[in-house]
Parts: sequence; C-alpha cells; structure tokens
Amino acid sequence: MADPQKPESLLVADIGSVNTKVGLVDRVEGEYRFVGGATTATTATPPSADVAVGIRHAIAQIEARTGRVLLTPDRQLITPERAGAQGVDAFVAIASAPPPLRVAIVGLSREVSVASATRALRGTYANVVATLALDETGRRWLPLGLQEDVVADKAGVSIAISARPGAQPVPDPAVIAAETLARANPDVIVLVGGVDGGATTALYEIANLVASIVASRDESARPVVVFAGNREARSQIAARVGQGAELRVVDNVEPALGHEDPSALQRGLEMLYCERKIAWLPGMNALTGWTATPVIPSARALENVVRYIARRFGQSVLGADLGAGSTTLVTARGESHTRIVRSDLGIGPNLEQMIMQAGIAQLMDWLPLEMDADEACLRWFNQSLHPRTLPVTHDEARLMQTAARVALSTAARESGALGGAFDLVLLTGGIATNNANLGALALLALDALQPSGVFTLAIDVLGLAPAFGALASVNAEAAAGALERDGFVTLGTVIAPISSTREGQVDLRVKVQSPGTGAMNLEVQHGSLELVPLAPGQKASIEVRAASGVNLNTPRGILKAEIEGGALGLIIDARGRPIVLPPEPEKRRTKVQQWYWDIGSEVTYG
Amino acid sequence: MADTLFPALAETRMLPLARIRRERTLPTRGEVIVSVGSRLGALDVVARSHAAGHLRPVPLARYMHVTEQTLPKYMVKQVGEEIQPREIIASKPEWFGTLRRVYRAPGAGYIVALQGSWLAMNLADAPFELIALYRGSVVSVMPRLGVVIEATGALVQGVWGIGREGYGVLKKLVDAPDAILTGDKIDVNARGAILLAGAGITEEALQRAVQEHVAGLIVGGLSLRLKELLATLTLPTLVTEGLGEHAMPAPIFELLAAHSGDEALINTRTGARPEVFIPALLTGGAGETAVPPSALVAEIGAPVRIVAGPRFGEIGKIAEVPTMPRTLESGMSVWGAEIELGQSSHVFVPWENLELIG
Repeated sequence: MADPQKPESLLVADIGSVNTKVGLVDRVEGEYRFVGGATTATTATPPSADVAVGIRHAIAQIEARTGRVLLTPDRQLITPERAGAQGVDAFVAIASAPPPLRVAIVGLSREVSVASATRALRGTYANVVATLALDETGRRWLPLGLQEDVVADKAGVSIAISARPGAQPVPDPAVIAAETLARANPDVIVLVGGVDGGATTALYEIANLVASIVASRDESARPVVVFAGNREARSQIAARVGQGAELRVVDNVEPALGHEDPSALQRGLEMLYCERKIAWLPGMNALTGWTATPVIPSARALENVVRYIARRFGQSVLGADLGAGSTTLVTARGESHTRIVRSDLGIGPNLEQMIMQAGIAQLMDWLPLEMDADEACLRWFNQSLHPRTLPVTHDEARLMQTAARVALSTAARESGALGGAFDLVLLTGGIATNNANLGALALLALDALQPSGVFTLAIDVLGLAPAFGALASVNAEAAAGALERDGFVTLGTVIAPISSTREGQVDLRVKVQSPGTGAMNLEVQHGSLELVPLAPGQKASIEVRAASGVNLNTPRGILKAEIEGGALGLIIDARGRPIVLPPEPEKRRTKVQQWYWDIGSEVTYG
Repeated sequence: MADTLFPALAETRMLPLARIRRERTLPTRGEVIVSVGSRLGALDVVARSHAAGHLRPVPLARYMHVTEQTLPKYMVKQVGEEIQPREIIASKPEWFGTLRRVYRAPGAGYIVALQGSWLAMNLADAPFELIALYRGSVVSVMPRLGVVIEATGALVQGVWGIGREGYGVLKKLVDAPDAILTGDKIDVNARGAILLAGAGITEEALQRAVQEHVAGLIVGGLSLRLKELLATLTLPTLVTEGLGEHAMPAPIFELLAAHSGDEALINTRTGARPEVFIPALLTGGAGETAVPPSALVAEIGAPVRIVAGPRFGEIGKIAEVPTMPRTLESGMSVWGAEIELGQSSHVFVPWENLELIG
C-alpha cells in the first residue's frame, strides 16, 4: 500500500555545466519507473542567465512527449500532483554547473599537511590555484644558502635578504610565496598544519600571513578560511584570522603522523560549494519554491548511487561520470568508499586545457583514424568552443571517444582505480547518454579504466542515474526502483585477466555453456578482444583456465562461475593489464581500429 | 506550443542596429568620474583606480627581529597610511641606540593590514584608466566600480576572442567571406584599424598587422599556429567560426563589410561572447528607432547556424521538428530539427549542434 505522505510522482533535474537533463519518475503498474526525459542547454550564462529557463524548457518537452501537464500557464511547476495526473509530488535537483571553488592551500609541510589537503580537495569541485608551505624553503621561508643581511645606510640599517653578506639583495622567498598567494585571488584558503597536540608557533606565523591577505581585500570579496590543522591551535587561529574573515574549523586533515583523514575537510568544502556556488547560480531562487530538499552536487549524488549499489548487492563498484565540465570517479566496497572529482577534465569547455596537460601524443595514441595531429587538435578545440555539440559522423564519434578515454584514464590513474578489480563498473555522463553504439562505449570504459578480473559492465543510457540517486532524500523506494529498473543498461560480463605474455600466446581457455546457445570452447590469445553473444537476462556457466603468467585473481588460475548476459554479451578482454599499444603509429592505429571491430562497434547507423 | 517542441538553444547575435547596454568595470575599486546621463566617446575615461596595485605581504616581525606582540610599538606608519618609496615603515633601536634597524617601503602605495607578524602593503602600479569603449551614454553608475553604458549600433558576436579590446576604423581587406588575408594587403594604411579578414589570415599577414599596430582583427577561423602566436601578442582578435580555415558566414561578412570605414570596437572580455560593435552615426531620430535586441525564439522559420558536423558554419532555417529522435551515423540517438539550407536542401541536425542567429 502506498504511503500517502510519500511523493510518488517526481521530477529530477541534473544541471550540468553544459546540459540540463530532466527526468520524470512515476509509479507504473505498481513500480517506480522512468517515464520520460529531455535535455536542453544549461542557461546559467547570458543571454538567459537563469538556470530555471533551461529546466522549464526541458519540462515543456517532457510535457510534449508524454502528454502530461507539469507546468502552469505562467510556467510554474505544478506541485503537489493534482487530479488528472497534473504536475508532480516532488522536484529534486543536482548540479555541477557552477565553476569549481578556487582554493589556496597554506600549510606547514609540503609533503605532509599540504599534500593531505591537496588529496582531500580531489574529492570535491575545487581547483587548487596556489599552495604555500612553510617548510619548502628548508629554513622557515629562507632557502638554504641565503641569509638575512643587515645593510647600513645613512638612515640606519635596512633589511635585505642576500646570498652572502654584502651581496646584492635577492627577493625574500617568503614574500614571493605570499605575493603569489595574494594574486591567486582564491574563494577559499585552506589552512593546515601540525598534528593534534603538536607545536603551534609556526602555524600562527602562517595564520598571520593568511590574516593579512584576507584583511587586505574588500569585505565583499574576502575568501573564506577553512582551518583543518592542529586542533590545539583553534582558539589562536580564530583570534588571528576570525576577526577579518569568515573562519570555518574542521577536523585536522592529518591528526597524527601517518594518519590522514580528509573527510571533514571534504565535507567542509562541499558545503561551501553548495553555499557559495550552487546557491548562487542565477535563477536558483526560482527553484527553491519547487523543492524542499537542497540541491546537491552531482558528484555527491553519484557517490550515493555507487554506495547504494555496493551495499544493496554486496559488491565492489566503480562508478565513472564523464561530463562536459568535470570527471568524477567513485569506488565503493562495503562501507568504504573513495571519490575523485576533476573539474579540469571533461569533453566540453576544458577539452583544450586537458589536451595541453595530457599532451597531444597521448590522445593520438588512441585515435583510430588517419588524421594528423593538427587536424585532430583543431577538431577537439572546436568541440571546446561549442561544448554542447554531438558527434554526427563516425569520425567525429571516434574523436570524442578518444578525448573521453584520456579524461577518464587520467582521473582513474590519479584515484588509484586504474586497473583495479571490481564486481561492477558503471559509466555515466554525456557520452553514454542516448548512444546506440554500445560497443564503442564498452571499449571506452575498458581502455580508459582497464578494470581487471571478472566484472559486470553497465552504462547509464538516460544520463540520469546520478539524479536518481538524489531522489532518495524524498523517496528512497522510488530512487532504488528507478535506478535498478531504468538507471543502467548491462552491457555484459567482462573477463579481463592481468597478463604480460606475448601477442598471440593463448592466455585463456574458456568454456561457455548456456541453455540457449549450447556449449562453446574458446582459446583466447593475448592481445585480443572476444565477444560471445549472451542476451540480457540469459544465464551461462563459464569455466576459464588461465595460462601460466596470466592472473585472474582465482585459485590455480581456474574460474568457474554462473554469469549473466547483456546488450553485448560476454566480453573477454585478453589485452592484458596495463594495455600496451604498439610503438609504431601505423600499427597502433590498426590495433585500436581492430579492437573497435572486435567489440562490434563498427556498425553503420543513421 | 512552440515551447513544447523547442529546447533552449545557444545564440549568436548579429544585429544591424540595436540598442545595447554594457558594463564597464575597473579591475579593482577606484573612482568613477562620469555620472548618469553623461554622453561618452569611445576613448573617454569613465573611471580610474589610483592604486590598482598589487599586494605585498612581508614578515615584518621577523625582519625587525621582534615578536608580533612588540611589533606595533616600532611601527612608524600605520594601517591606512600612504607610503612612498624607501620611506621608513618600522624602526627599532639596536646596539644600545647606536644603530637603528628600519624597514623601508619597497614602493609607493599604502598599508592595508598589520596582522600579527605580517604587514601587507598595497603597492601602486601605474594608475589604471578605464575608457568607455562603447560610444553612448551612461545609464547607471556602480560606485567605485564602473558604469553601464547604453549604445546604439551594429553588433556581431564571435565564438572566440583574445587580446582584450581594441578600437579603430573598420577596414575590409578581402573581397569575399572565404578569402584569406595575405600580407601584401596590409600596409601603413592599416595602422590603428580593425581589419576584416575572411576565412583566415596568413602568418605573414599577422606579423605585418602587428608591425603596423593594427587595433584589431576579425576573422572566420585561425590555424593552431596563429592561435599560439596570438597568445604571445596583444592584438585584439575575434573569431566568428572556430579554429581552422572557415569561411565567415555571408550575412556576418556583409554586415561588417557594409561598415568598412566606420569606427568599430572589438571586446573579447564581455563576460559572455566576444563581440564587434559599430556605433551608429546618429542623425535625426535614429537613436530612438533602435531598440534593445529582442530575445531570439526557436520556432519554425527561425534562422539557425550549424556549429558542428559536416555542415559546420552553414546558416539555414528551422523547417520542421520531427516528433521522434533519430540515430546519427555516430550512433547517437538524438532529438533535432530539419534545417532548410538554400532552396531545396534539407538536413536533419541535432538541437545540440544548432545555435539561433539573428
């Protein structure tokens, strides 16, 4: 029996940096299902400068496609639902549209506290614009070999910093570092340092610097200071910094030597992102009347989804969200989880920046087209100028998938997820949405993330899985139902051993037995990709025997399991981990092209 | 009904005559020297900041060999006071009063903060003067920050720009929107002008343009090499199409070419798209007839520009909106529209690859 207090019809919106997606979830024959959706441009910038404009456009398209009335004549959302299925009971939204927080990290030790804070920042929408560590110059700001020098002149004694007494003064490194920090113009200064109960004097010194910079700014433009250092120093830090700036105190990011705890700092920064970025998105006020729940960051919503699935099915899960403006990776095993957000990696506006960072060679390695680097660069740069655009031709699709590979693999390498063993790998984001070429998407995930072992691969074809995760705050049953039934499409089971044997050597002997197709025996050579048809929902027994030097994470290299099919079937990825590409450009291109054929993605569409 | 069929689309504005408003703001707070109603020429100064300046924090307690608690008593200058180069800011007797340890101002500016052991000074750079750029009248003043100017004229938006802003006479140097501007077309007459090129410009021509101190460049496309080169220059440049060699759309080229010889500006830092603006020569009631640009509406017949795919850069009209998504050669299943290109040519384009233009 339905709970009358529980909202049953729900609209979810994902306000991305480039696209806004809206989906309608409702009860259909007793089950929560995705009913309809639409995508439109995010309208946070001029000429609209109002995110609600894009959301209303998307809702209007859902109305047109489903025949359901959702908006009043003056374009307000009808909520709660009225008789005749007009409107919805609830509206929830997630957002990644705002730019990331600009964060400066100031700490005592480059290798310890500053490094811990930098790692913590990777978990949220934040870009490090400056770092300053007291110890990086070796002697409390002064590099080795330099010393303070007293220079006599007519007025008395002036202070200078010089390489040796009497030498020409050189700039004080402390001042250079402080000027760099001031110029960075951050939204947030994260102040870290010291283990709990440790020495505080040096911490007060850098707190004074932070206070002087903050006090120099107009009150309306002062950065927020987040203190995540030695808890014994809190009152003194508050006395020094808190008078001129908004100070937030969170648990120490390095409470004891060798013990890192980034969670409190991550939560603090995420809260600031919500308060200072999401809430200030133009047009957000209009939406507050539509929803009783706060708009949460998309990365948080994806984390909710991945952790839910990990708990619900007792699996280790890797979730990857490749957007136009950012890339998010979440892993979850039982109650533990990790999250990394790279706001500088994406296949939209920052594509050009990504290419500059990664280097064109890395992208060209994976491009299966006969195209010179300059031409490819031009195409990618134009994509960044028009970040909403979709690939029309086969070649444009390959170019976009190549860029997506590099974005995902860069994030995976940084998060430590690259080559990891998981039970389930999920891919979401613009590139996976409404893409009929499932083979290309499977290859993208396998190449970029290089997961190993035996796992299920699934993609989010609606592009709304993270938003479904946000539904849990108003109706957990609807969130779970929409996610499990419509959130992801299973591509299939993947067998991907770790091996470094030679090309052509048999890595795996696989026996597949299914009621539908009978028995099948395969010898899979190193370097190849094999696809065994196995329809969604169809079960099969497999027996896999790994050759010497091939690791499947199973006892004696033998795996016997019951697996389920998917849109592609059983995928045997015997390319080894890490995947090694031929050094010669022509052979490399041929190889990548071959893998596209092997996975069945060279299909004619349109 | 229109709203139910059409999503929100990006826009490229191309207006022969419109009344626009633009904010002009200082990089740091300063003084606005015009008032509401002031009529401005493009080069008139509207605001200036005396000390746009940069912050110089110094560990003064360490320099003076004192603790942060005792530092204040050695301060000669206080927070808020102006300082001159080498002026003494702090002074402390040493060696039983026989010497003094002093800290001198590293430049002109003022003291902004003394926080514990650190002193922060705002050291003045050259005074910054903000010009109007848009010829028009002030409709609003943002105290200490800048003004909003209303101006009337022709407007063309680009997709990419670099080199801040420029003002000069617009000079058409090619005959067709698909022509490449070559070095032999640029001579001393180009000095101080904004050059209208077509599909591209050669490196030699770009070098000549820099030598001749041109005020700006408008071009359909740019090669990667020239894009990198421009990053090292301060030549205001507006690209209408994208990177590579792309013919400028004929309506844009024709609109700009019709104003060859008129004063124009390039602004690549609008906060939205970079733009070219050509102020109207107001005679009679022309100023009153110009109206603020109305919002572009996606509807059947609306002009659109294709911004990706094989028909990149072409301009057409929305002819029909299919009621179901279509699958493209790329494998993407998309919603979109049939676009009429010319008399009998129709092509299906995803909404994501369309911009309204007009």
